Amino acid sequence: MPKLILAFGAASLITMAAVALWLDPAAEKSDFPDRSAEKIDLTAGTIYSTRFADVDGNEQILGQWQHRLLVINFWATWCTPCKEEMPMFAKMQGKYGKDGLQIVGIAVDSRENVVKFIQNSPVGYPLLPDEARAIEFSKRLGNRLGLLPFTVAFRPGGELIFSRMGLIKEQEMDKLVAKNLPK
Amino acid sequence: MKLGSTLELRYAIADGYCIFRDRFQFLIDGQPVSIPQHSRLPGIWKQGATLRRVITYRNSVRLLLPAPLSKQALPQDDCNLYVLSVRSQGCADAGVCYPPFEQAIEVVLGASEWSRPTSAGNRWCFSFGAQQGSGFTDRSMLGTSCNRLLKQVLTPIASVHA
Repeated sequence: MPKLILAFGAASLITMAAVALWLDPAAEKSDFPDRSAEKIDLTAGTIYSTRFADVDGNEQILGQWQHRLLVINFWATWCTPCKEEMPMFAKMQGKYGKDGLQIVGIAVDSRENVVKFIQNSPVGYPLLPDEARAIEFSKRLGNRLGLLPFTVAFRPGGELIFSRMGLIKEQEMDKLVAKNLPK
Repeated sequence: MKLGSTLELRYAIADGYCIFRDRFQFLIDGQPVSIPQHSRLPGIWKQGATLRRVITYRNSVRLLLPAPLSKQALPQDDCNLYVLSVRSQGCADAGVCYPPFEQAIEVVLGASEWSRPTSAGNRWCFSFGAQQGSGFTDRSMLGTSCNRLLKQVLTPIASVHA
């Protein structure tokens, strides 16, 4: 049988090298490896006017949470670490929701996949699946490599106070939230 | 399109990274192609704290894909190429995942089996990545009215003359 061999790898390795460069070895040493000083491509007004449909197909505008401490977590059902940290976000929402915290999960995924996922793993905060737009939105919020998980936090009014590519520890998240809840 | 031949795809995977077995998708000229289950390497089971187990590949993987390797296997037009697209997705051990991405290859075939050692012009080219670019440097080899060409133009990084 004739056989043609094509070797992939170059592009993968380039991508992975870029990932390795991005990952910040100092991140573990800091309470908040905070990249909020980095320029993001969106104003608070634009962020709050952004809309995504939820799992029921109802359009949700981010501005409905502009008076809360808004934590946006970008995730996907194909992202193993994303799913591992979601129970932590659910716990935070349960603990601090009444005090003004709002977690929102924007999924780089299909509505079908997300619906299937929450049937087994309900999280208790809004999940907004948008396979086509989510990554681009995350990039405009500073996720320049488009990797997941990616999480940003905004004080009421839209000031970016936290940005993280990769996992967040519960203790770290708890400290961040407790410090920045609306007065 | 006849798919009587076998294309072997070899992935080199950097240390600390994995590719998910079930996330591979293959398309030839935009049409999905199924990879036979038996041609997939077993991979490594991975299980997260809250997740079902998934099969991953590390270091390298070799996949066998039914694919045309001769002009005779292609539709009878003036094209002597087809486009193989591979979609894959994986994660890094550092705790991040990259979105599904696609690598496209234009496989250019000669009049006879490419693998037959000959100097009669068997030739194939391929390019990695899906960035829009300047296209093949020797575009004349592709003919002038090849309707099956990808709309996106790929930049080659290698070509092989059989």
